[in-house]
Amino acid sequence: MSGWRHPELGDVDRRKPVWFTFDGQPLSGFAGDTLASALLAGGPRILGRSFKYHRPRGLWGLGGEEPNAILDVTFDGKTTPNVRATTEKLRNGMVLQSVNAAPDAARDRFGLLDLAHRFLPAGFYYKTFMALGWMRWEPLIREMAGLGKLDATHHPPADTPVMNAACDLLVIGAGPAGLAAAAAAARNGRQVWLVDEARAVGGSLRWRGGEIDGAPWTDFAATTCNAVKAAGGRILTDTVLWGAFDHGSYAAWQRREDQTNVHWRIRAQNVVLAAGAIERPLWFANNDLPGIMSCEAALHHLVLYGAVAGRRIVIGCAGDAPYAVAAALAKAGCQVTLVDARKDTPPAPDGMRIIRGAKITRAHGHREVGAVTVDGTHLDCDTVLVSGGFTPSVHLHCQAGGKLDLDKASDSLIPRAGTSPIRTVGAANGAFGLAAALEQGHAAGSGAAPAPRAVDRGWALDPIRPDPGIKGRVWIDPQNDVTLKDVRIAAQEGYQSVEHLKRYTTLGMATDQGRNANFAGLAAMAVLTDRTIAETGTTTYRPPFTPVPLSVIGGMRRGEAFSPPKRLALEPQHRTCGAKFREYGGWLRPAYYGEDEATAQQDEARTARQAAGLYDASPLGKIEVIGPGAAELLDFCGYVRMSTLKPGRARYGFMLSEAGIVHDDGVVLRLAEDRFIVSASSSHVGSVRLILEEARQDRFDPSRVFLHDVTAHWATLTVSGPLARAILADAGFSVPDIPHMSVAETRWKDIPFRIARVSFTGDASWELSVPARYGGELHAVLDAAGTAHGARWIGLEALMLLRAEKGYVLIGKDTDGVTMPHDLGWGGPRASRQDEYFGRRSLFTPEANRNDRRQLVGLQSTNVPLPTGAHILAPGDTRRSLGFVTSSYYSPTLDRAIALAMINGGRSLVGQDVTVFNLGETYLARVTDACAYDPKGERLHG
Amino acid sequence: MQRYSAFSLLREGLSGHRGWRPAWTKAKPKSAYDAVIVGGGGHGLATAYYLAENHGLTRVAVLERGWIGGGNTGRNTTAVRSNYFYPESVALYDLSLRLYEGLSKELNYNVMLSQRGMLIAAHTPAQMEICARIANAMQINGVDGRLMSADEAQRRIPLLNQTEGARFKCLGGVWQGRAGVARHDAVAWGYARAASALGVDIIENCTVKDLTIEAGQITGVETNLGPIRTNRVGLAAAGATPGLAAMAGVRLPIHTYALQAFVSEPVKPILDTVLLYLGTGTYVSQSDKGELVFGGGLDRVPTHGQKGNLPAQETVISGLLEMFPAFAQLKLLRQWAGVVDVVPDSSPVIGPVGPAGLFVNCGWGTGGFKAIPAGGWLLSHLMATGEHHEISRPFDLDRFEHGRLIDEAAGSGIAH
Amino acid sequence: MVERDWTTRTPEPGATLEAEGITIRCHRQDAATLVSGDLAAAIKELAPSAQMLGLLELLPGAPFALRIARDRALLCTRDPLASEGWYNGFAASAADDLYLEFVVTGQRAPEVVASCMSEQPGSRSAATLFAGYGALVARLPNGVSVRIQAPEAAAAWAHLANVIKVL
Repeated sequence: MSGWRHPELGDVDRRKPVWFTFDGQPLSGFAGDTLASALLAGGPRILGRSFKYHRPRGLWGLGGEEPNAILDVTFDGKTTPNVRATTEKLRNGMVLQSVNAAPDAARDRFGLLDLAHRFLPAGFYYKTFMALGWMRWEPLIREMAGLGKLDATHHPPADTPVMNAACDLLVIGAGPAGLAAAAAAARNGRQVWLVDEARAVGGSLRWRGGEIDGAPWTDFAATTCNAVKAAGGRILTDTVLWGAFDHGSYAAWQRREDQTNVHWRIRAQNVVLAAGAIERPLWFANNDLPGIMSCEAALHHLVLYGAVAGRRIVIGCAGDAPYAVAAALAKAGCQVTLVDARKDTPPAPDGMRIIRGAKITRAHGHREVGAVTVDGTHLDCDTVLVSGGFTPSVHLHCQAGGKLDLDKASDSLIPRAGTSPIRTVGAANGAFGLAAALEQGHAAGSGAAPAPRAVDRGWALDPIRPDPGIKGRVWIDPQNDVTLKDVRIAAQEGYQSVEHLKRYTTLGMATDQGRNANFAGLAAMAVLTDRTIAETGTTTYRPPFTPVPLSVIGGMRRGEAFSPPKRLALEPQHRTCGAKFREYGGWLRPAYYGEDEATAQQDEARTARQAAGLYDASPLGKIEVIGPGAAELLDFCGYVRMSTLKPGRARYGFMLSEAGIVHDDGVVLRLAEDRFIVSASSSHVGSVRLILEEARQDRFDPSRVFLHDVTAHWATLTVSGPLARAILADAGFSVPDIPHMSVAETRWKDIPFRIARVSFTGDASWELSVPARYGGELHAVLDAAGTAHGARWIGLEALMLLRAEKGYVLIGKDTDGVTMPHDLGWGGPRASRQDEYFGRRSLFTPEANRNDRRQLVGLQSTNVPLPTGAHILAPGDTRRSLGFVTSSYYSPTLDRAIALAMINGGRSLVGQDVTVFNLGETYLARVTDACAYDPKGERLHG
Repeated sequence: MQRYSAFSLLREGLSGHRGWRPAWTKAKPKSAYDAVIVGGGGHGLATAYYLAENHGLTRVAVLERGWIGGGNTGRNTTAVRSNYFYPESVALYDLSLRLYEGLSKELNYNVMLSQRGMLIAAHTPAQMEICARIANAMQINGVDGRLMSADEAQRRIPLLNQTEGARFKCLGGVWQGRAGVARHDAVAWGYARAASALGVDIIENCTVKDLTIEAGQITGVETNLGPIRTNRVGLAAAGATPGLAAMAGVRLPIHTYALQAFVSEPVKPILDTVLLYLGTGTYVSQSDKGELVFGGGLDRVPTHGQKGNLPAQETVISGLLEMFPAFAQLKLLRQWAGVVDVVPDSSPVIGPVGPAGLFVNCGWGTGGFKAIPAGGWLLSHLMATGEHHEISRPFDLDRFEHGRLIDEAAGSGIAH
Repeated sequence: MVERDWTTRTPEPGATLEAEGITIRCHRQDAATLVSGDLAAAIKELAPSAQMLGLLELLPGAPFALRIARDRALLCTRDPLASEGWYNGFAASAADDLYLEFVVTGQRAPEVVASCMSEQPGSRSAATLFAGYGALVARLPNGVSVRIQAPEAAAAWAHLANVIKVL
């Protein structure tokens, strides 16, 4: 531990100590600390281990770019892995654990791996592990890979709300450039949203300080915020704008004190990116040792938290920026030596030594830095602060499709103007000085009056590049352990495009998403392959800008809120009757009534045939097709013509896809010349309506026919069975005496009342529909009358059994993506219709004409029902399937097992025995007609 | 070809790794070739390799407009499997899986094939019936598929949400033990290296601008690096293939969509198999680095932009967290999208099209990575012999004329 | 197979959700008719004083029409119109029970709205996605009125109950 707490500096509250542990060691900090600042000020240096070589790692940076200080944090009994110490607030009682180290960071066993580093360069795993197979080694590799540990018992709640917003101007970053843009725009009356990931506005001003318009920067920040609010805008701090998407849509993750996160979806007309820049490391031997930190980060921690990085500090740089850092550290009581690669430098601040025209070539230390070599001279130190220049945070510009160019003055890749809808200003645009940042921001906010003024301290810098010729191990990516040598090997082996470099070496693929490594890797590859940076290219930037908790994006769609089924209006009534519910076709419907499913299914089916069954048919679609063009539309969209249907009658038909495949089946009711109701299976209502709608709009005159999906307006209860008629009479309905397959509109107690004689069970059935608010009354009346006649409420399980006895298909269960209507025995329209209808052409392809197509048949076997999904084998060829069992039940009415199957050439096999295969076992079964019960349909007429 | 092995790694380690030679030669285009493959992804590179290895054709060029493996091969979720329904599909994908099983040794490049098994998990009795149908289809076709019970699924995937509040309780599903994952980039690089070693020219940063056709026969391609003569052209460029085929007047029944994929921050091992969950439509595995790799449904707007938008992300991620509530502790690290070329029956299009000498291998939609070895094997057979291999015949473009679609999604009940 | 326990329920008319600054009450519509085609003619014929409303427009008393599409609207009246079928140029279907209405009021009502829908200023259609469910949304003096299709009301209601706890 070489860091220490300054007695006065920093915004922490020294009256409120906060207690925590790190790898079992008790430590303390203050209210206001982050994990990083508390550890820097009073904890051990070694906070973790690198991914591959398990080398010790210490704090590097100040924000989301931190690659090393990644910890598992337990708080309030719950553990969260991979927490970034620099962005996490310290709380009392936190237990911090280093990651990827056993038993802990200080004593990691796998540190021995580093001794073998020569044999473990980038991509070594592609060159070996082949003889015994990868799987032999994989478990060990997986154990050693990964960072933190997931806590299997910790299920974070799904409590992140979405907030949608729209704004005129979105300003990303509330540093000087962002504040200036927001101020200018707000003064022009524009509605500005100002977003910053830190907990307060100001950006780097918060630790660099500075005067704006002759007053402390905090004044400017305060007036800007007031102006923004006064113009109807909003300021969000602790909020990361992480994604730029199509059509001006952006995503942000907001953290709130003592409240949940918020997932923001912001639609912005205009966007200004003022996200600042990140300091680059220096590239010398052993530049990965704990104790080597970013210069800017050291200043950040000193000023904001009073956490001082060390006492005997060497600063390496080739630019002006670290001079202020040096001065502050010296003033705080550190011994500082500045090593500037330039011969021509600003004057050295008071109280420190400066070595000009020199570079750090090597850091020394076993597990922490203890000395450096500066061009041959040995310097003892306990801390090394480095500044290799700055990399603008241009990610969002690139996410939005923008291109980059190398700017010589700032030695950085900055946005090419006009290549994205985002305007980039300030340090993010390579303008590192305060005055320039204010000017650019002001201009972007369309400021009319002069820009806010500031005195710029120098920001000049000489470009620094990793030198592939340097001796020793030089780190490019500290988390993934990618060194300069790895880049050389990649170049040598031809992985020279920047994407190949990244994927081959894993450079830039760590949790810092390449913010510390990408520029260096790119620059090194350029040197090694004798190309310019522009020629070498940059990697693609994609969301998220910084890692975002999955829980934020996943939102509140969990448990019952995840893809919820639709609910019946009569659900309370069914529950009262003892229904057990299950999802069918996107609806929650009664599966059976009672305690035991198997028993209930049998009893309900039996009762339905012997007395009557009552069930809720509400979810079956009711699409009204209205207008003089209705019949014509239905004739085109349906396989069975409906124009010949008389008003008051009903007809069963199919809807095909363009490929001639059966998409849905259902009954069409004709209420009048110009009014039909198309029923669709409950899961297909939407798609059926779309097929009708598409034809309506594209093929026909849309002003002559309209489609209304009024499924939910009606509650429909069906009475089916030999006693159905008697039940209806006792219930007090005056039911017109209409035949099977007809419909009548009438009234019941002055309520609209529709009766359709349509049967799903094969018994005489009456479907009764009333507006849903009267459904309860209808239910009560039927319940009383039905019970009196020994009828039962039946669920879907019984219903599916009953229809199977009749060979009625269920779309998607008995049919699949290749089933055509003639496969189901419905070849009539195909043979006779001369007019054009949807899917017609596909019904006559060579494939459609084959006579060995899979056809619907029944199967009779021993009394144990055949397993659904079992296949029928070709005789004498166990490697060929002829089809499969699609529905299978024990029929209480027939007192035997029944099944439906789709079998190649099935209809010609009726009467023959076939072998049925299921998961290694075989059965014998006889092919029969699909209809097993009342083949003449006599019971339909009741 | 310079052999890779533990020994060579040791030897090179002692001498600073200066002896490694380029994995493939960065060739300049010649003026003519016996065969030209457009598309330097897994399929194109595999085709080149098999042309040389199986058919002795080495005057072959692979033309790639960017960097090899930069398209869908570098953007998928790395699953390999052959748990399909139709015998034609099983033959195709299992050919591929068998080739994968020997691939590292054959190419002398570790593609890190991890046959850790894949479960297609069901949460309703209806879905279990579908799983039984698929498991039986696989067994009849001679491939390792079986039905897995809920208990076994729970044992293999302990973190799967089986709490009372779970939206979808896993009832089990269909399991293929030989399925798993492989390292996608390594597959591209491995094929490139082996093909290059056999004399194939791999030409990057080469865009095909036109196909030259004379008297109904392909005679070459026009590129940004100049014209190249050949009488055999194979198109294996995924989403770009329809545009290339159009240069020969061929219309392919393909729509392109963005398919997003996601990676979390890495953690210690928490998931040992590949899982596709029918209830949520989300699929997930854990990479050897410890990152969760997952994806789900397409962004249903036709596009060539390799991006994708928020609604699909929210859906996929909420699906993942519903299956694994503990994963809500993790952060999203990377998101990307590939451009998937979707065919109406979700099966690939392999075969001759348009003028003589032009062949396509495309339409793999969301499932191309697992098929790379088979795609290459079959396209090379076509280009070398002019005839279909029996495994690729059913996937010819003429199946749309004849109506013999191979609709896996509909046949098996699962979105491909 | 043991089916999961569904604890959410379709709200009864009169059911209420409360949080600080937020009240959400469920209402049953009096009566409504779906009309398509020549909407001007439909209104003139069926409810001549009805105003046609786009997204988040201020609700007057009944009758009024909520526009759904270019050629479709929900005509809300006090009493059922009992006038279904084809007219000259437009079609009408009874839709009294197609929707349930959630009325969101209170000082923080705008936050609920911001959470459930995106801003579409000036949209001429009152139809939008509200918390992911198709809905017709209009404004009230102290909040908003959201019509959700009855089968989805249970899910939407449960979502709102969860959201107002964390906003």
